Amino acid sequence: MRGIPAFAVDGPEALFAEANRAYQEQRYQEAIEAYENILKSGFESGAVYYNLGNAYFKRRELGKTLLNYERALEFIPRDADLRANYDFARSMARDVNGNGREDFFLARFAEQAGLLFTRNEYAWAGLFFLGVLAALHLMSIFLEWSKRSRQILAGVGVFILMCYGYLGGMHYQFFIHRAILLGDASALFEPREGATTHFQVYEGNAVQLLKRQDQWSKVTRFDGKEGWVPFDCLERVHFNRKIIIKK
Amino acid sequence: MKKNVFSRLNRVLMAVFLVFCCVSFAWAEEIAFRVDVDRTTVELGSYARLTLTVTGVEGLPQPIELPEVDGFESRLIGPQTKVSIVNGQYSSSYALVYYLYPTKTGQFEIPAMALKIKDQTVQSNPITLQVVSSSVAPSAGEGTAGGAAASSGDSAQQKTLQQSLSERLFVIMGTTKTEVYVNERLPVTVKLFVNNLDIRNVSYPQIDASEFVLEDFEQPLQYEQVINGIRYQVVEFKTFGYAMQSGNFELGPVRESCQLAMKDPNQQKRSGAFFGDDLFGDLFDRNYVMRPVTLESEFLNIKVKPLPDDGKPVSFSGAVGKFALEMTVSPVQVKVGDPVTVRMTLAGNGNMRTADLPALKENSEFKVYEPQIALHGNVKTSEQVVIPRHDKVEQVPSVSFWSFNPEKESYEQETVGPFALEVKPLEKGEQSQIVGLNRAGGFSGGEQDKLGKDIGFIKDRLGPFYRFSYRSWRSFSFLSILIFVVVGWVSGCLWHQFHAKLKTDERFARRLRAPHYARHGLLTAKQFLQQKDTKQFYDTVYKTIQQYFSHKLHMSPGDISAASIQDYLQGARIDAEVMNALKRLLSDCDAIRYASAHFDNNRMIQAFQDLQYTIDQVERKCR
Repeated sequence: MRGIPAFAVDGPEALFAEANRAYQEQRYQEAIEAYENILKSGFESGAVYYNLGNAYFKRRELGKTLLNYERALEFIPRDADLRANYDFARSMARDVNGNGREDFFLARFAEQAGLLFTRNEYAWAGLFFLGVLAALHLMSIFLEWSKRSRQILAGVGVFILMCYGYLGGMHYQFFIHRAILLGDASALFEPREGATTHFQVYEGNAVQLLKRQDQWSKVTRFDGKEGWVPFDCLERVHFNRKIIIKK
Repeated sequence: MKKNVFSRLNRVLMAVFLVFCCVSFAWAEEIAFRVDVDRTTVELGSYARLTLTVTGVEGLPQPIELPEVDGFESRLIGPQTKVSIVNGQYSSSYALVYYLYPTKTGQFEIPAMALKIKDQTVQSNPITLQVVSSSVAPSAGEGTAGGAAASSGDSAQQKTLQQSLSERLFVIMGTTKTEVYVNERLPVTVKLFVNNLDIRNVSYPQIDASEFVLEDFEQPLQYEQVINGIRYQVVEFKTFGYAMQSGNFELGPVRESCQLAMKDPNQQKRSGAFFGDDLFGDLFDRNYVMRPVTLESEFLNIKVKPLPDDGKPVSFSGAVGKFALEMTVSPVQVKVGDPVTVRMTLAGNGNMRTADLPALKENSEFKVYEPQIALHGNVKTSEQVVIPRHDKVEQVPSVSFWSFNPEKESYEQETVGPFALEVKPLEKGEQSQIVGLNRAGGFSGGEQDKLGKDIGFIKDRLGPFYRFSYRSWRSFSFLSILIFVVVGWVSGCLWHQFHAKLKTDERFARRLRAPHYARHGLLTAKQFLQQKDTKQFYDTVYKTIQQYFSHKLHMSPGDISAASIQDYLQGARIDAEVMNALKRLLSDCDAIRYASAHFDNNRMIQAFQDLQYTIDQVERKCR
């Protein structure tokens, strides 16, 4: 309940229960609307995105399904149900590589590592490591540790800093420019109707957003190919940040 | 105990019998007399190796004498005896080796020789030898490429030389059948014959066979063979081919690539001029050059007959040959929904790639899965999982395999099964191992295709939820802790640095302590001022000035004088008024301490104020 005024608490929970009821009664469209209403009220949670992804899946909207699962990953990245559903939904998308699943094992590791923690956990973990590092450093100078011990401490500090930076960077990279295709589309060489097709992207594929021009978005695929697709055929995973897209 | 003794006795007798059989076989081995040479073309100045071999004897009752051969001088090198037992086959031979040195060019014949052994006369084969001039002939043991190496010489000798190489290195392709059915196995043998040449890097043969599918060659065999009195090293490759359609076709020719090791004439020239042959050249192949050679054989004419339509069964899948089908079922006692593995093994001498193993089909009794098929040489295996749907199932049905037997020229059927199967019903409350199979048997409608493939259920608890704009690193608690950590860290570092300087920098430490001494002196002086104790007051004032400036200037108290203080204050640009006040103070102190002067209370107050003023000004301007 962090950061939420008391009067607002009942609202999302009531909406959530109502949406779940609709889902269980297989009224998936109503469930989707109810979950969306929670989001429109200004609140978000992993469970809401997860259930919304499930509801879209039942409606056979694979793009929206993956979009909401990826949003849920920001809140409950280690949730086994989410991981299972996410992997299953990804396996149903055409052109699996296009979903960002890397072939190189280090790249796969990096992707998985970046999804280990939520952004808030990364923040608190960073603060914790900073405190520990400060305490150890002060101990080393006041207790007059040997030069070797201080060198080891510095090495460990640098290593932790690098790991933290790497994981945080991966997390940032995964979410910040990522967008999911909501339908099949042709990526064109130029942002205009009738331009030559460069490659095809399919519903549920993940792309990186590069820039926006009028009603077109420039995207890059998993293999580095770039092309222009209509702006309304994709949606950013991290939609509530005021960055990136230059109109 | 008795039984054991008899058993051992039986074994001993059996061994003795086997040895006796072998020896008897050796005695019964046929006696033969053979003459062979290592080449049929010899150049002048070289020699040919001739071997007289008698098989079936361990020693000769009489010596063999080589008759006089026109055009050659002979020299006996020595006898050779060979005894071998291969797969229980005992064989022995006795041989005499001669070197034949030609004395003139021409064609000469070694006549047939007769030898009498154990009342038996055996006769050898005659051999014809060609002697050519040494200027064009391939030298023995040097492995020259015959005519290719000879760039000069008359055409007759050139022709002879070409024939010589083609006799010493050639490839032959053969088969045991010239008429086969479509997809019938056709054995193909390729033999590479080498006579006294250094051949290396022999590749697998390439056969032109556009109408045939050939299997990979087996591991080649190597052995010796004597043809027309010439001993050859033979490399034999075996494979099988299958005709794809009917008609008259040519199989081959076969091409065989290898490298011929030839002595490098340049290397010989270089090394031979002074020291003769290069000792290490042979060891490391420096004296040889490799010449690639491609040999080609004749092609074979093969007639391919179509499979007869009469009696061709509907389920015939194209297997031609002799096949044997085996099938096992395990376990044979199961419950409804338990998997049963059906294994089939098909072995035969046909084209296994086109022989399709039979498989069980889905029906009301069994749910079946796709069989896993594997091919290992001439054996094809399959594993298929079937699941009984209900407890009425009593057997796994039989399966049939049709093939065409080319020897009998008819279609044959192999049938295995049925196999009895005991299927028990599920007990009350027991779940089937197979998802989707209901207790009554059978699968639950259209869900069959979705087994194990669906998403997990929704979450019924909202869990922690946040405002859209919420970021933990913007919260008050996070920022407070961050500031606390950073401030604490920086403060700790600064504090440690300050104390480290106090310990190591004495000037800094004394300057820092100077105001402390000044404050203490002023308090003491004030007490004496209130007590109107003039002497003690001025003593204290003097000590305060001395201590304060000695710390401030990092000097010993004894070195403090009006002059040293004046130098310091002038350097620090202190007002002249301060200097005057200090001078007055020091003068008054000297007057009291050394001249026993007496000052009234006002002057003491003035002195106290001067002391305060002086220290205050110095602290302000000389930090």
